[in-house]
Amino acid sequence: MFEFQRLHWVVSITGVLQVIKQNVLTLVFLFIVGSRNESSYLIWFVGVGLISAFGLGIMGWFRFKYQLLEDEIHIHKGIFVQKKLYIHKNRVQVTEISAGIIQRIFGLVSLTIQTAGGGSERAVLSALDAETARTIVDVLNPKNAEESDINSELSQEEQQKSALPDQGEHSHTKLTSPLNHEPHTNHNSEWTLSNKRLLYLALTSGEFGIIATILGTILGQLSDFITDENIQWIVDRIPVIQQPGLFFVLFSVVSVIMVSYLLSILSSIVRYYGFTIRKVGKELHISRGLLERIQTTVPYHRIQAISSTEGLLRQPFGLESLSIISAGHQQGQQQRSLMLAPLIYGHEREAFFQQFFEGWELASGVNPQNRQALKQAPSDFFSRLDESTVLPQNMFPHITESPHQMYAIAPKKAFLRYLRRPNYLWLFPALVGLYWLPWLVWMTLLSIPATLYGWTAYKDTELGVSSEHLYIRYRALARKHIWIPKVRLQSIGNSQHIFQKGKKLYHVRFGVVSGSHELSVRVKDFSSDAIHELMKWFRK
Amino acid sequence: MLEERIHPNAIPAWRLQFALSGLFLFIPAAFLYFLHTKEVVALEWAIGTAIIAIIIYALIVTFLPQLRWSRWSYQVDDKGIQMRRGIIWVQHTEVPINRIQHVDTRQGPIYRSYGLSVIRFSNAATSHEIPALEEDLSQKLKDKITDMVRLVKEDV
Repeated sequence: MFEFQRLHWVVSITGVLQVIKQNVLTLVFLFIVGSRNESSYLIWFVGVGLISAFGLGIMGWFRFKYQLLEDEIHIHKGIFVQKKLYIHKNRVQVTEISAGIIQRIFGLVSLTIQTAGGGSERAVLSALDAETARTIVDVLNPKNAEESDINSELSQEEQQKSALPDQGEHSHTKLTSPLNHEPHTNHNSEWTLSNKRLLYLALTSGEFGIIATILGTILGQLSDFITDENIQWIVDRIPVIQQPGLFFVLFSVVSVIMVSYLLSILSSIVRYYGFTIRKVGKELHISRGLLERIQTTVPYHRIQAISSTEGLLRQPFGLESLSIISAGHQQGQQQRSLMLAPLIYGHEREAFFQQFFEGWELASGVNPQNRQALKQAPSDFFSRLDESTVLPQNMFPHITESPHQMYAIAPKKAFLRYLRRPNYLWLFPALVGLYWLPWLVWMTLLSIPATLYGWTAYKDTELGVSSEHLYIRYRALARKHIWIPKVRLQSIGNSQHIFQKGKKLYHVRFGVVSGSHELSVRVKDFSSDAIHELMKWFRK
Repeated sequence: MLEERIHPNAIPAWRLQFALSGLFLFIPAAFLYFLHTKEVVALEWAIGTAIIAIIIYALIVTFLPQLRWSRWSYQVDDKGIQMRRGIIWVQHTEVPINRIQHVDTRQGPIYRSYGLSVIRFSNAATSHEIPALEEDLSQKLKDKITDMVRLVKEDV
């Protein structure tokens, strides 16, 4: 285990495939150009390219070596310039084991180790046998790291609590304690995505819009193909049509939508088939995927925040998806958060948090009863509300040491601002364009959906703090929730525009690490009293 | 307003900075004049644009540095660093001490001639700056913040 090793030789082939995949556009371009002139020169060109890709693949495999030490992994790689990558287990954020089709044929897996920060601080060991991969994951496991040893003598339940981020507060008080012998195979809890839910998920995924755009663009590029002859050919075969031009437009629009919807359903199923999350000691194990099985390991104390999104198609059914925000750097992946529960009912969320995130407060947000009370409160103070009782306004004391939770909603004086804000989106372009295009007057009709949107945004905005957590709900097309442990808040800010000054309203911004960037969560138009209390809570 | 203000030398330093970078405002006028020499547009266009540019330039150079300085304040204590700035948008940011990863100071040629420097502290996600502090003060602040960070260091 302690000497340098190479990966399986299959890597050299997957490497070639990788090169081809990356250059697929160039290849397609070359073929299109090549098919027009009839010299054999192009075939030579592609041939040489393929051979050199193969050579590079083999050399890449030969030069890639890794060495597993007691608590770190060393990787040497690079064909012409040798890069040495040393990763210590204390720096590992997220590990991911995946098995693609080619790797499955050979019974291999690919291991990705993510650390925080930008650049190339990500190590991929793309062909290991499953056992070695597990060994490496176990070695790099933070549960053996000194900082999580503090509570090793406490009971099982206490241990899970200690894995939560509030433990970070004590990590600088280093306690020496006996090694942690806890076996990592005790499956405490598990949550699986049933096939029925997978189907709902696929049907309601908002992705088809994106795919439709891509397909539409491709279709636009194929204008050579869409000639009168071709249209006539289709029209001849379908006898009912009276107006070929109109029909063709309708036909292509409908077919693009249908095809992209089908594609989005397929891609969701491929990605989330057999989604399971499991709590194993101080880690979360997430596995998913139909063709490519992916198993991700996230230590609890690396979780920066949890977010939940109620998509427009899902909200009417009370469905939402939960994801983890981590500092793990996933270069080249658009999706920076890690899926935690792809589809879950809103009312199940509290139980889910109980099961996997014991100690995370404010799981259910502000309940309707408390909301009503907040609305009727004479001031826009941050209101401390227990489960049932509503204290009169003059009894809201300043925040003390008690673990009570406090909530705030967007104040009444912000209502009109919420209604107005989405309207600016169409108003300004319309005003500018009106001079040239008088029919833009009809754009005023947009004020109806925009105002409705503003109204829901007003209703949906709420904020809560407990001793250790911050909870925010807001709307950015979809309704979103986010839970941030206080110790994970990187910065907090408020801003006031000159027009907000009279009403004493502020926007608030919370910064949390996501990948190598800062994720800023903003809520708009909160009263100065609420902001004041919030800043006090933050500084405590 | 927070406790501390940035150094008053920031006003002449910014004035010089704005005076230099504000020269870009004259590019449209110069371009229009060029078009006039090619007989594409009338001379009036170039003159009009130049007048607007001169007005904006004068306003920026005379009033903006003073205004910006008077709206900038900050405060460093054992809990965190607070910054408050902005003329139309008043922004208030707070960064807790124990999230700070590293601190650095830097100085361009203009700041150097006025004995100023910028202090920048980065957390795991992004970085924040306080502009135009006196050189010695920024060094002291840097040491102070670094010491405080050492005391309360946590992992990301």
